[in-house]
Amino acid sequence: MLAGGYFGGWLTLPAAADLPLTDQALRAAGGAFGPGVVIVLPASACPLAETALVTGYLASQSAGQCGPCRSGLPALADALGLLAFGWAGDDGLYWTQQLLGLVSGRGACHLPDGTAGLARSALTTFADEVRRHLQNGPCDRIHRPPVVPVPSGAPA
Amino acid sequence: MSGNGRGPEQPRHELRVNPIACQAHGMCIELLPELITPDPWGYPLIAPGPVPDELLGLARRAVNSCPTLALMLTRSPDPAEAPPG
Repeated sequence: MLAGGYFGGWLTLPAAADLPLTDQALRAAGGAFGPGVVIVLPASACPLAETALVTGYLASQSAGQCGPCRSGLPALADALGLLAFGWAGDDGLYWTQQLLGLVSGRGACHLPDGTAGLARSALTTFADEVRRHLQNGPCDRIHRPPVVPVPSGAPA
Repeated sequence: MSGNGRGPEQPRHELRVNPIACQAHGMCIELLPELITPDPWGYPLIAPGPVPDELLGLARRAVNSCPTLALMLTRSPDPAEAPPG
């Protein structure tokens, strides 16, 4: 379950359903209230694929003003994409984790921080899923249409 | 402008980068590798914490050499101190 929209965090469901819908409680659990967006991911969806697609969208929205964001967010989106849709290997996971640190706090705005936060949350919450992808390659669920909506069309 | 041997009120100097102004020319990385290293795209990664006194001169040189004036040396607490004399 994604609590707090694109800049929120992933929570696991049986437990998260009992949380009060307050920013404090959601933050303590690793999510956020943010814009008030909660998205429940069905078991048929791949959380890594969903995160990779959202990250790709956020990367496309970079204003391109700060180098670490302009270069780092697309790299992060690619790394997550490889993790979800390909064979990333341990190096790929390591690179993904490195990128989180390389973009966080290095922009004039908080786009890189929010994007890295979502990605970090996915790697933590879905650590088992990450391991499965690393061992077995992409899962069958990546072929399903994504659940988390991402604006389409040319970025403004 | 000294900043050493002044007891507990010693000012802390820190290096900061304006991420919009920085165009990854890499001058600071060349001039102050003790504190500044490149990220994979050539943008500077600055060691956290205050600039040690012995590197202050080199830090100032790096600041003055930045072609886009993106590197700054800040001091805190800000010296609202009126220097005697």
